[in-house]
Amino acid sequence: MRLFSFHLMPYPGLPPDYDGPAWIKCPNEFFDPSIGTEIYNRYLDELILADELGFDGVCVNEHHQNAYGLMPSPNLMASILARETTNCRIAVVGNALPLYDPPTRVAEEFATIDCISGGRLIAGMVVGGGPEYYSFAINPAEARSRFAEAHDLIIKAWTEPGPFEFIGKHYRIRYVNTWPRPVQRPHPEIWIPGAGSLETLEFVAKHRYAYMGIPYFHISVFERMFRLMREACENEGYEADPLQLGWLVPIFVAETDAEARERFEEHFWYFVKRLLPGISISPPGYTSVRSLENIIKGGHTFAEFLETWEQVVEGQYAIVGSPETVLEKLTENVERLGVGNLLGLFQLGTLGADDTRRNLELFAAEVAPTLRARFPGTERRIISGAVA
Amino acid sequence: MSAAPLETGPFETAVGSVVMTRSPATVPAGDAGPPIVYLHSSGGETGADSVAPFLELLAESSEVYAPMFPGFAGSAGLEQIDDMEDAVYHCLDVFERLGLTGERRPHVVGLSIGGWMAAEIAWRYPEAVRSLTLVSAPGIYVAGHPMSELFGRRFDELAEETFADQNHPVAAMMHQMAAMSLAGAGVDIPFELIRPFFESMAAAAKLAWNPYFHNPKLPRRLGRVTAPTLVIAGRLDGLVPFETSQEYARLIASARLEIWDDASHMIPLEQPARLAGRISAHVSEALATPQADRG
Repeated sequence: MRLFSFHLMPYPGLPPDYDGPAWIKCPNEFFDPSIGTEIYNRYLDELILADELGFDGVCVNEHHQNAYGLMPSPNLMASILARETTNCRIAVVGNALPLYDPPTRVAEEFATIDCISGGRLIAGMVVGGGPEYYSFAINPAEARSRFAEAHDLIIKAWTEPGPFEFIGKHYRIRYVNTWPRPVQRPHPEIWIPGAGSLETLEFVAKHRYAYMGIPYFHISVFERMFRLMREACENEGYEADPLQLGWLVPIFVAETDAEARERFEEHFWYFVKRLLPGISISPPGYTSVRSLENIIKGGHTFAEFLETWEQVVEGQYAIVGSPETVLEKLTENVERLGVGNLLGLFQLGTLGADDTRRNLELFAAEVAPTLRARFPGTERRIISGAVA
Repeated sequence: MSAAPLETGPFETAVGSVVMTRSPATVPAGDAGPPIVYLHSSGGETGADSVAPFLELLAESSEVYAPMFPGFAGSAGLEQIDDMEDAVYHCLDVFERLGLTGERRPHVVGLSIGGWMAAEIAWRYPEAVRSLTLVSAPGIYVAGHPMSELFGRRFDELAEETFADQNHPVAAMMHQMAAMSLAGAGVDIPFELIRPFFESMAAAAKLAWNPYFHNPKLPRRLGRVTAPTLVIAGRLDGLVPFETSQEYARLIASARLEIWDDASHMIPLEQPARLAGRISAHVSEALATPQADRG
């Protein structure tokens, strides 16, 4: 399996008396640029540390106008990481394609990062979160259709000789001729994050990409999501490769179970009670009717509704404990979910620099080796049709 | 005049089968009175019992045609409609297929987004509309009086902004749905209850997400409207400020403006008799007045 360190780059300084959403309307006067200078550099250091500790990759992602994740352009972060890391893959999970017009911008920037990093980019493509459609004024009723067309354009820009003309419904470009081209031929590995939308699962299965289960739900929701993903692959005539599946989960390791909870719990609650509110808004037309029914089934298990630590533990919303505990829980869940990519959030909410560093070091030294031994294999068996 | 019960069923259009509530097709054209087309709001009320009293009252002196827009309550063809312009041509197609052209061009009544749609038809094709009634219509951005947020709002908040009486059955149902979803963990709203709302908002977003419920060019186009026009708004409307209706009335030469002090947004549901009466009077008056000819 492959181990990734995923950073959300959260804003830790929301006023204690603020109880509104962290998204769309969260007043930007709360953002203190001096905190920004400190945390951007610190968070980048934490991702660079993951590379030094031997993680297979680091992950960044894109969100706008919110306190949950401070990466409106994950490509800025990825281009820094391309210079400051040496071995790890750099997964941008992903660029919200409908927000780029024209989306050839994504083809250019991803190819640039792939060049700087010497071919270490994982190119994530995402429809974009519900709040983004409010913040960007892009019509959510066109989200899926724009995403599909932008995807086609980007892949074509990477794989077919330019210049060529692209005539789509949303994008019409007379001269597509993307410079630079990516190092990885014909294009970087592609990841698609999703929250269980059936259209997305089918899209990933069809293109033989990898699906990253991103949301914060009860483990049973992930189980169902990955089962649906495997079924979608079967419908395409092949058996899913575990490395096509990724599970995102907060992880915190300390010397003992008691110490781990003691050091971690308050930061987890800051995350779910302060940074998640507002994330799950679903603008009109963004989700299809058949997916809505599917998503509603798991809706009440969303982490924002958690009230007790026992619920957190029972639903595997975070994997927290001694190295032994974390190893056993991860083993159990990786087996249960059948995933080949573990995307750990080693910093969450207000978790500080020292705790985050210690967490990464303990995980790398005392959890990762056994986990790798238990789940060998880091090469994709199923790769996208364009690559094969 | 006819008071026969309205019929509801599929009607073929260029974009597919559209569900329509209409006066009985067995009544010979003209016998039931002048034709009125009712264009519904983003709530899709045409498909619900709640608007039936209003349509039935209108039908006492008129032929009534109330098509459900594509994407609402089983009407097909939403994938062929991207924006308000497509919606206008869809409506014109419906008029033509119903034979509502020339001497039988319809009196068009629209609620909320349906009113905006009616205005967009009336400036493009003045000769296609015999008279115009705009009820609680958005479509113009009035600085200082922006429309409130419709998309992604809680049902109880929307009920408060669109109903004068929170005990109206529809408002009460919206409060109930909000209570169910606010209960959060473990309580899911029955899917079939939210599905129509979910679908109608997706259709409305196509026309009105951005620019948000307005056409920046509309103010400089409305001078082209020749149909006698009645503009009605509720002073209590918390969704579309009545100032928007004041702008319509200012920009359409023939317009008469009525601001009802005790009304909110969903006037056909809350004041069906008064509204039907005003529309019937407006239609009669329009028929007695020759329309300025631009066609």
